Amino acid sequence: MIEVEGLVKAYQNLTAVDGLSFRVARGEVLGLVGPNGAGKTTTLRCLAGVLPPNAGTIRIGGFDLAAQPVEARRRLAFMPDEPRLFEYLTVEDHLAFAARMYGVADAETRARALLEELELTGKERALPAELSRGMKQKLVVACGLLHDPEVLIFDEPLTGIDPGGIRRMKQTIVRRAAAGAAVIVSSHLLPLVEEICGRVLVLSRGKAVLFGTLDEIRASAGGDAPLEEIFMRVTGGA
Amino acid sequence: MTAPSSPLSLALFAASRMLRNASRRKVGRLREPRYMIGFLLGAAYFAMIFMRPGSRGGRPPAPPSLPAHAGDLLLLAGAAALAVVALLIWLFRKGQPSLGLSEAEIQFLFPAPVSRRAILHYALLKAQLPVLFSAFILTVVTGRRGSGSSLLAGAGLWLLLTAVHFHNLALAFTKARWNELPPASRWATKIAAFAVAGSALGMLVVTFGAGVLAAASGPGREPFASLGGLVAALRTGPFGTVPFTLLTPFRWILAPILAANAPAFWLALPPALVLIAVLYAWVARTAVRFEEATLATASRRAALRARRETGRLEALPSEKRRAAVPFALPARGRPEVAIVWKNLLAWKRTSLARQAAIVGSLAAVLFAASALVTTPRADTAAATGSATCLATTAILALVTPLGFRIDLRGDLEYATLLKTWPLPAERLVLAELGAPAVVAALYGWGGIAIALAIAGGRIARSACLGAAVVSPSASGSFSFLRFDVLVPVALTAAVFLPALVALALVVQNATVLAFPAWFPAGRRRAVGLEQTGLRMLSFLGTSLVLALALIPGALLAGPLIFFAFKPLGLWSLPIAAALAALPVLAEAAGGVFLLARLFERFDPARDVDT
Repeated sequence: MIEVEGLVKAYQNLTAVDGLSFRVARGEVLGLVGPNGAGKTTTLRCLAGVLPPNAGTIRIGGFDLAAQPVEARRRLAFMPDEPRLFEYLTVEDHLAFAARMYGVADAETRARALLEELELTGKERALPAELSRGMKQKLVVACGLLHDPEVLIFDEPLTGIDPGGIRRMKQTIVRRAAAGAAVIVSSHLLPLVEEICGRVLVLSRGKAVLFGTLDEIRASAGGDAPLEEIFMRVTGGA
Repeated sequence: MTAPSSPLSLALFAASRMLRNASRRKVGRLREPRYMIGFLLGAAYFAMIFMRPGSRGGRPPAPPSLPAHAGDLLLLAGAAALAVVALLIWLFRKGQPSLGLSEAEIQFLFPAPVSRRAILHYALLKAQLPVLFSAFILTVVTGRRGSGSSLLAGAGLWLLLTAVHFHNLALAFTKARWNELPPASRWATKIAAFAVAGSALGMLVVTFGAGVLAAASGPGREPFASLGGLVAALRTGPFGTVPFTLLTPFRWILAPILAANAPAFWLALPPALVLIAVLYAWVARTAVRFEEATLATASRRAALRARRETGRLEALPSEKRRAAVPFALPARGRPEVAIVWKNLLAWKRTSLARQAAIVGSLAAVLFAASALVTTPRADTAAATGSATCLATTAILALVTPLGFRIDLRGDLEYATLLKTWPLPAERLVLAELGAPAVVAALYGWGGIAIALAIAGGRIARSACLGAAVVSPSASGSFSFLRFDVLVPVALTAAVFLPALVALALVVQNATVLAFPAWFPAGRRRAVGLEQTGLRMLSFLGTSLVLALALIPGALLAGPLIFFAFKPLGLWSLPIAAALAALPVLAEAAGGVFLLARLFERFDPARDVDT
């Protein structure tokens, strides 16, 4: 569902992502972790088609992101770490806009269900300036999920969300994976990664330093250590 | 542990660091060529404005000398105006005892081991920065007055602005203190104060009214002689010398500004300083609980600043207005329409059909009015109105959509999001240009329709009366104010407008996409001398490109006008405009293709200044 081969993204004096290769299958949740500056957000932006890579191929739902960008984008949703909303559109305007952009057939029913699921009911006429950080994050997720994408990319999805919201967001991610979506979750919250991710990719300085299921990673680390302990070891305690 | 710093040293420290850091940042940026070029252009522009001979900021010619009693009159009139404003503030301004501190200052100062008096002093000193700046600007704008010295004029303005600041703060404190009284005393105090302020206001109005009447009925024909009578009337009006005495503090504070020379200024200074000392004592003695109001004001200001930085100055729309959308947006259909819809919402929360209906109704009403008016000069008035409407339309149709930035220039701030939309770059770019094009059409064609309606009303009237179309008998430089000129010109504008707007939009968007480091994306409006210069550079560059791009159209239209003007007259213009629009539209289409390539190369991580 998500196939990445030899991905390289470089800036003038910095190689942010250096030859990254991995796959995420249908129904799978991949956790992307790494210290600050490891290249997580750059990787996700390349996968979402925001940044053109310098080398490598990315396939989303079988479509090459470079050769067939529109088909690939139609199948994915990218939820960035900083919720970017149009300040002049209300919650319902955002959903109407997303529905038209992706041609969602039963948009109203889906929008209502998503607002309910993400606890945004009653906020339909609110503008972003009137929403908390967590609510904005939820609105971005609602817009992303509206067209029922096959590929979901979350960058720090739990930032600014209250405990109840965190539980719901985790359920939302797991439910979408169970329904067949390929999901990537980037987060600094290692317990979250341990809880919902089937496999983990640890990045450091743009390279994959660990990749596998939690059991495989623990085995390779030679014991039953928690993910945090292994993370500190492989990233040099950064 | 040493004693906490004094408010003065704290205020000076904060002000000096703020100025130092801002200056360092600005000077540091000048190392980049774009900011240096912008700075030089901006500086040259302001130098041209302020230094040109006879300008207000330069050395103005000596003001004409006024009759001796005119100074008295000016002082009295100014004091009366100031008194009326002060009394209106007393009557109607609500008491919000805010010190005007920022959120950061509150965070550091309120929990700090400093007295409330020290915080108050800090706030008063901090407010001196904008007060001094305002006095400086006013001195530059108004030039030397009275004393003939810019420094003394500036000092006088500084005294006045300081007094106004102290007065308003003290009044807010006083009103807040009234609100802390028990209900019975609170209302008694408020009613008494309201009665006193209202009576004083009434007395001033009646006295001035009587004085003006007395002066107007006086024998003198020379204006200042009559006004001199007004001064006399004020001193011996129906309330005796009470109004004149009431104005004393206001005369004191205005006297330094209006002093005729330096000795007069120094003579006027002590009473003004006494007044400021009294106002300070009032502030210090009535200092109430200012924490809540200061915090609320700081939060409000921070929110306003955040909105201003993102290019949004207006308040959030009401609940009712939020229901308004440009048009219904079904979930299925071309996604480009969604982008146009979204950008129109960024412009205004209104229905396009409603806007069109308003323009249509206005045109119909003006048509009817123009046709029904029977006054002798109706034709001239209609032709002038029609021509004015056309000229205004031409400016609005071009300038407004370009100024709103409701296209790629504004949306590039959201480039991370735009890049994930399932649309080829060409279609996305075209859709992004749609909203300003719609606004331009609304303003442009709407304005042309109104201009034609005004002219059409007169033409229809003549036709109905069976008379020949009467053109206004304008001549000389106004010979174009004729219906047989206005109508073909209006049609020419209507035909050529879409092509011109399309090209202008492409050029403007290309500037930002091609040079994101020079001309930042987003709806934010950066400020500063170098930014003014960069905007001038952008204007000059885009104007030049636009002029060059219009050459092919002119080359096509020119020969047609040359050959067709004789048989068709001015009616050859709309046809030529249609022909000229073809290459312009072709260039715009090529521009869209170029914009699409630029958009594909646009890197949000590198090119968006966040």
